[in-house]
Amino acid sequence: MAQPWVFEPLVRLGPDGVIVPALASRFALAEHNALRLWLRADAKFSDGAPLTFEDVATSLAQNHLRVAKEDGAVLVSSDDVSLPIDLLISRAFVFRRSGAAYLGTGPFVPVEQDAAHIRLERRNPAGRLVQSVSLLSYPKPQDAFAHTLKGDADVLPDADARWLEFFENVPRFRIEREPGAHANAIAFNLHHLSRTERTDLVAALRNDDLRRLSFGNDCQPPPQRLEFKPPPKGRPLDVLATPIHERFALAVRRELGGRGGSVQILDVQDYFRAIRGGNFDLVAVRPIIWPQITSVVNWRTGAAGNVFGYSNPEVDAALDRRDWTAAQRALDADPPMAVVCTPSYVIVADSRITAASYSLDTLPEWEVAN
Amino acid sequence: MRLAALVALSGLLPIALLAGIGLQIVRRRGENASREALQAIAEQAAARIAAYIAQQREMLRALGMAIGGEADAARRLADVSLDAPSLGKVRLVTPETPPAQLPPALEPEQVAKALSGAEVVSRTYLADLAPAMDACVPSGKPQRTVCSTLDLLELQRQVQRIHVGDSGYALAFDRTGRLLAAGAGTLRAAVLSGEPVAESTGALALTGGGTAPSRLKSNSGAEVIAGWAYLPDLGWTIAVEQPVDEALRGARTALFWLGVGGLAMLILSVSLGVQQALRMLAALELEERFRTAGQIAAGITHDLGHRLAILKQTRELAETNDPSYMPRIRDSLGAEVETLQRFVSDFADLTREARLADFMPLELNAFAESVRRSAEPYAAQAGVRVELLPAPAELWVRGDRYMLERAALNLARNAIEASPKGARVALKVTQDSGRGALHVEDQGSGIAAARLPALFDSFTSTKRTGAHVGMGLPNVRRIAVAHGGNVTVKSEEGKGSEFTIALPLQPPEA
Repeated sequence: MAQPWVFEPLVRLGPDGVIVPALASRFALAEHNALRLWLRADAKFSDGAPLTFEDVATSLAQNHLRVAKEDGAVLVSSDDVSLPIDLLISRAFVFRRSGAAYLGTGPFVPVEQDAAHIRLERRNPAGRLVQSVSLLSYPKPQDAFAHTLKGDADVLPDADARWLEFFENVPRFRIEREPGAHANAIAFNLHHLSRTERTDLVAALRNDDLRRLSFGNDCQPPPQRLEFKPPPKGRPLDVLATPIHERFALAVRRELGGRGGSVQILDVQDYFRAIRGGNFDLVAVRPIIWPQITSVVNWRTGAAGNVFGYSNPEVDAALDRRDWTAAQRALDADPPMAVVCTPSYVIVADSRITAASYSLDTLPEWEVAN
Repeated sequence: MRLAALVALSGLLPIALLAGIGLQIVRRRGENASREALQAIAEQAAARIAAYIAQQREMLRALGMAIGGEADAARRLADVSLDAPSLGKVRLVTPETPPAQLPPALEPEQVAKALSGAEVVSRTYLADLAPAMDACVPSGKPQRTVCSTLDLLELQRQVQRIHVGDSGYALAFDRTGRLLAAGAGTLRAAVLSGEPVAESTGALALTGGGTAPSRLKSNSGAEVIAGWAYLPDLGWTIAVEQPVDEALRGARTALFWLGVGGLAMLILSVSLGVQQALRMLAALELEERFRTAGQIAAGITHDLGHRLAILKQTRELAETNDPSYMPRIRDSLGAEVETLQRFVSDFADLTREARLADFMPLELNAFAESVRRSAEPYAAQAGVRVELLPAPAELWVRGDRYMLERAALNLARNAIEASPKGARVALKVTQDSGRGALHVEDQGSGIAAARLPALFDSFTSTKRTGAHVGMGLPNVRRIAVAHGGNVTVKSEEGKGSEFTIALPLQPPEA
């Protein structure tokens, strides 16, 4: 969580989901899944040392990226062709080793660190901007929630919507909602269900009744509305889920009516084992859906995140062209899953904190009112 | 000021006491009313919770009998959970149900009992975030029971919804004193952590059949008034509490305005009383002045009349032109001139004020000797002996020597006049309790006991012969008091009197 405040990548995902420059002043795509970048001259590490080509090469090598020096620029390439090079670079933070410490170019520096907490201080004090941040770690999310309620912490990121009632009439806190990056969806066993069946199932499952029954009103439906279709006829479909999705799985089975089979609720390990073994028809999942570049690339043939073994030449071709919208269209036409809704990203924050956006990515811009 | 204090003590104090008692009664009544209101809210909340639980269990019983015996009971019951989330996870339990699938808070013997067709419920416990309770009901078929983990989140919501005034709230405890739901946001962390709160002790007392305090220090340290209710079936305790300051705000406001009103009335009453008293005092003073003037006039009239009669006789003697009367006429005129001089001196003494600036160190033994010498010619004339009995050591006082001498001589002259020929008048100097005293003792006929209390009041002298207008002793007292001392008298009829002027001792350098 603290990494993006201490370290910066050469490029990052901007607020609208598009890759924008960070430590690079500009960049341009090169051939063979490579990216040419020009480093910012004013970028400095927390010890005041300027950013160098060697720093970039060492840092990106940790992410299996190759860096070559060109005239005034660096050329970054990767052997992993399943993911776009700019997305790979956006996940690689630049650092410099200084003794046992790693220095970054971000606005904060770590000043304390142990298993239970990390304390960060802003490198250059700036008005009412948050000057110091302590990240506190608890064994379970419920513990973090309880300690925040007790007043031990000022911000609880990614709060479970079920907890929010507890914050009612607690004037110290306010609840903020941001569009979520994950969805609640039902993924299909591609070996058991044909393209037609899957398309029909998407139309059957993407409805408000199922959404509300499963998640209440705190989960937004996908923007693209589909005409409801009854589930296609066929043998009963078994639904696999982890305990957090038990209600979702039961609701899906009921929505499928006669095609609803058994509901299997497994712990996380057994759940993934069952997926890898192909022992399911439908499975409740929580995929990343934002930004689009991140969500579509996981469906490329052979991609590391493609755990369901999806393969669609149209999708691969669109990804090769870096046409994310076309890739999404191809996915919609041959769907690997049915997105039911997107839960909001809920953050509980001290009422004195003000910010245009409460996403943790924007924490360096948070202000504390007196 | 003295008058105001007098009025305050005699009038205000009882009124203030009465008002204080009245205000205290109003305050207690206010607190009792708040306590009863909170108690009623707690009981109402407890009744609502009991009704909710009964309703859930009734619903579960209906499901058990309707679905529990069916072949597809497991699936249908699971689907029920979707429509009735308050019933939590509804499931069919048979002897084959794996332990992990059994309701978590039920003991194995309770499960066995349920399988034999009885209805069983667990204690309430905290599952995930909300209180929960496991219950199993008969299915109508042997070795099949329908169980549910009742989600009591709704109860938590009910507790959180209870607001009393601006900051009053409700709390719910299980039978172990653990906080299950809290209306106060700051206490909700204890719901999750299970830490005991200040009110847990009260809840435990109520669970154990005792009583919970109606006034206590809450977990935040604030003094609160609380109403309590107990749900015996669930073992839950409901507390509804409100900070004392807020609960008694109405009563306190009433008390404040009552107090202000009472105080205003008192001030009005006192000011009117003081005005009235001042008016009465002024009237009394005027009357006293007239009375005093009358006494003075009577004294002067009497004395001057007496002197005038003597002078008239003297004039008649002179008009005879008989030379043989000349010595008698001369003696008479001389005596009358002397008497009138003393008369004037007495009045002059009355107008002289003792001023601290005129005070000088005075050694009492020497002073008494001086008085003795001054009195001796008069004593010799009266055939009386004046003796000095000095103190063994020097005794220093401060004062206006002239005025003190006038006072001492007055007493000495009175003693000489009261003494028969050949008697002795003693001037004795003593020291007692930081004071020096000059005693004037005579062996005269003494003073009647009835006269003693008013002896030093003005114009009370009965001696109307000679120059006695009754101003001598009042003047002695005035002088003694002006020097921070006093004058006292002891007398016994037939044996004589003793007058004492006592003055504070002060070293000459002080």
